[in-house]
Amino acid sequence: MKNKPKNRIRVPVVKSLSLGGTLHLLTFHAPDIARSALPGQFVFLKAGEPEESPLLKRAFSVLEADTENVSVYFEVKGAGTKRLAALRKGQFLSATGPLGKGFNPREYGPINVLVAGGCGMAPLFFLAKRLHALGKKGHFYFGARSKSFQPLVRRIRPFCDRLIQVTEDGTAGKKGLVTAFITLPDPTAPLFSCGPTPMLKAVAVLFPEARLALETRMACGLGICMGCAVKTISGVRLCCKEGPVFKASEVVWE
Amino acid sequence: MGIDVRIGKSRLKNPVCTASGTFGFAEEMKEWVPLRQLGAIFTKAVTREPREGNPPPRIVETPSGMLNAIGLANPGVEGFIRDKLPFLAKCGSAVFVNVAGRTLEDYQQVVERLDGEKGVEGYEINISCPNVKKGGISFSAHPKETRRMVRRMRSLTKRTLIIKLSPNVTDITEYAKVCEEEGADAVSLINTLVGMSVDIHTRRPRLANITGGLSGPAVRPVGVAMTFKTARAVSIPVIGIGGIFSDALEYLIAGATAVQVGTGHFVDPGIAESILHGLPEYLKKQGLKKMSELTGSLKLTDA
Repeated sequence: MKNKPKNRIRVPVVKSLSLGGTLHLLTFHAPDIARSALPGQFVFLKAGEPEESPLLKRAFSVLEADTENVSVYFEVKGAGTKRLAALRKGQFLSATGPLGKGFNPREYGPINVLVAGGCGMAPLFFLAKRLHALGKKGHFYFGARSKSFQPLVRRIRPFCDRLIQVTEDGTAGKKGLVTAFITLPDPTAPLFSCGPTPMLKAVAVLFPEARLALETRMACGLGICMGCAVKTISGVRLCCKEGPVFKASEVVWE
Repeated sequence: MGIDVRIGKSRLKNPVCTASGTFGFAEEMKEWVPLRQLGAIFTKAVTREPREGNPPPRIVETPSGMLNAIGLANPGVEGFIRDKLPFLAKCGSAVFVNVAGRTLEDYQQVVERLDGEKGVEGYEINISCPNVKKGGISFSAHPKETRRMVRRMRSLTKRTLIIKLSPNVTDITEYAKVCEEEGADAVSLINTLVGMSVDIHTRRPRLANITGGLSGPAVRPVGVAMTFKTARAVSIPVIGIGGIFSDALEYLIAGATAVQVGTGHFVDPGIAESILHGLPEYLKKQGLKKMSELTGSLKLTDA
């Protein structure tokens, strides 16, 4: 990925869809980003002019990318996501990406375990589709607070060899925390995960070899502001540039 | 159309520069900005020893701005010379190394070490970082301290010497005057304003460092006002910094000879180029022939 040109562009919204509650799916037309994005990489998005409030772009894992369009999936939480969710088809947003390193394709195994929590399913959805296209297997563990936080579960199913749905309140699939249900098909199967920090911590304890896509506060996404520090056993590293994917055993949790 | 400007002994192709801490060591930005077009590059702060910086979270967004408490994370002067300077020296733009430290001796060692290296146009002495517990900012605590610093730095180098001033003082012009008296070639201002943000649900500070430096459009009027006052108080060039997005002209009209784009890079990594492209057209519209006619051209009467 190193030498691919990065893209900084104004792009039109193709689809803006509420998935119930605060969850939102946003698709925009950006062929250059779409064609080069890897699962685990992210895009930096902003609605409005550079100087408009809220100021900074927001980082989103790529949920889907074909040859033309890129989709992201997020919870509407603050002013930035609210403005993005309010965009309608044909309106423009600023996008940079794909950023970060993503899950290393050389680490994909014949059978892969994917562990997702909440909106952290985005990069793993993309990964499941990619693995499927490559003829590799994926066992997808998908946890969330409740059924209503898993609106895209049906769209994942066709791309997974196993799909284990887990909710904390038992409204869909197994009841409990997703980390309680993970089994490796064989001890060498790679495990890829993304989700809230408590879940990733639990994954790291169980599977030190896991590859985790982390989330931190970021200002630039380019490795220049040095804001997105991640503590690792080999010192501070930048989530945006050296991550967002880190080996579980290397992360020093707060 | 002449858009070149002079800062001390240095002639810059144009007045659009990059602010320290917002442009890395330039190599990170080569995909986004044609580096050789920039007036000058001001590097991330370099200290004597490598620094990891402060614990996370180090940044938080605030209304029309952001707070940062990075804590001068950098590879140290030896790492800089080994890993960063070779690229910078060939990037086609003038390079000013932002120098930081705790004690006068820290600064001295960095400047002495760099003065023997090629590819450095000059130094921007950072006496105003608000995010380091000891030193650094104490050289901004009183004009006497600033004087000690500038005198020492001037004795060490013939290269262009720029002092980066803090806005967290009663009267910034007092500090600028001291810099001029001690032979600094220019002053740059403003560094970030000390700020703080609290999470009301957890009742915790949003930054691990508790306080941080405020930047972005929120601080621009402060920067413009301090540029205006300082440019009238000293005859050395003032480099205007603070929240520049599409409005570098405000600073130039208020008295800046050049500007540094900072937080704007985070939102739009190509922003410096956009600002630069607007300059010649603006001068033409205003009937001006060169940048120096714009600097300080603020009209204060009805005539």
